[in-house]
Amino acid sequence: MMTLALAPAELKSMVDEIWSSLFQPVPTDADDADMGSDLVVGFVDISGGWLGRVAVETTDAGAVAIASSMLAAEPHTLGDEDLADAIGELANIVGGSVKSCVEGQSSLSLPSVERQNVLRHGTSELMTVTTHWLDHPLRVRVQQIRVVEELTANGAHHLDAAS
Amino acid sequence: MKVLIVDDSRVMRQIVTRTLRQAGYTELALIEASNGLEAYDMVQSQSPDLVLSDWNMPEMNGFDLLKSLRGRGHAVPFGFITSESTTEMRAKAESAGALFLVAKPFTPESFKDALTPVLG
Repeated sequence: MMTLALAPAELKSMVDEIWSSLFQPVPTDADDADMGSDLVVGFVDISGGWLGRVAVETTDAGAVAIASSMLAAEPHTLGDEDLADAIGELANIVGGSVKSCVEGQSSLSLPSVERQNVLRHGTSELMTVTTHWLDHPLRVRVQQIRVVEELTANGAHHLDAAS
Repeated sequence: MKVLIVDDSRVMRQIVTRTLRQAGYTELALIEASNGLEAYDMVQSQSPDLVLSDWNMPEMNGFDLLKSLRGRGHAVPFGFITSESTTEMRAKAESAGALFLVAKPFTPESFKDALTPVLG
């Protein structure tokens, strides 16, 4: 099986570089992030020899601030489509960089955005980078997915988070 | 000179526009498309001097856009601005006729390096 050649410290450097190029002021490191109940998550999936999901998480207020900055637009002019565009694009950029660390051929999905956790609780979480930007939590999570052989009549594969 | 920016993300089209200005390209006429199909039509109807395209897009991706243009004999200068920049993708882009591939995140300097041979 192909592997992800990316150490946690390298992901941290990667995310720092991306955030530095996109945000002023540069996000600051944080030990933890309280996402509250208004989570906004952008994510992309990497498929091929290594299967995984790269998620960028913030709060609704964080998504508004990020979209406002990226679009150079007043917050009150932004709609859900703009928030999804901004957070999805962040996931796309981080996911593209993570994909470059996958050995062998792989592909990157188009970004999706949801208002709920898209990673499985209680399973192995490969890596997390947590920062704050303008008092808003901004977290990157990279999680491996493994294919579980299900004993079904048609032999279909079931995708599940790595445990 | 006219530049066509192709990206399904309005946020990214905005950032590309801003970065072009920061790189000193303040006199360009900028037009936008949100996918490869739209861009293909705009190349024919608006004759841009350069296409700056994302790779991964719905409807028609940037690579298929480039192949379609070259397949129909369009020689418009073409560069990718994409979040993916593996050696394989760079080689694929070059063999299909792309002049450059700029990886996201980018800087005004990386834009200048890529665009100076085309735009001066």
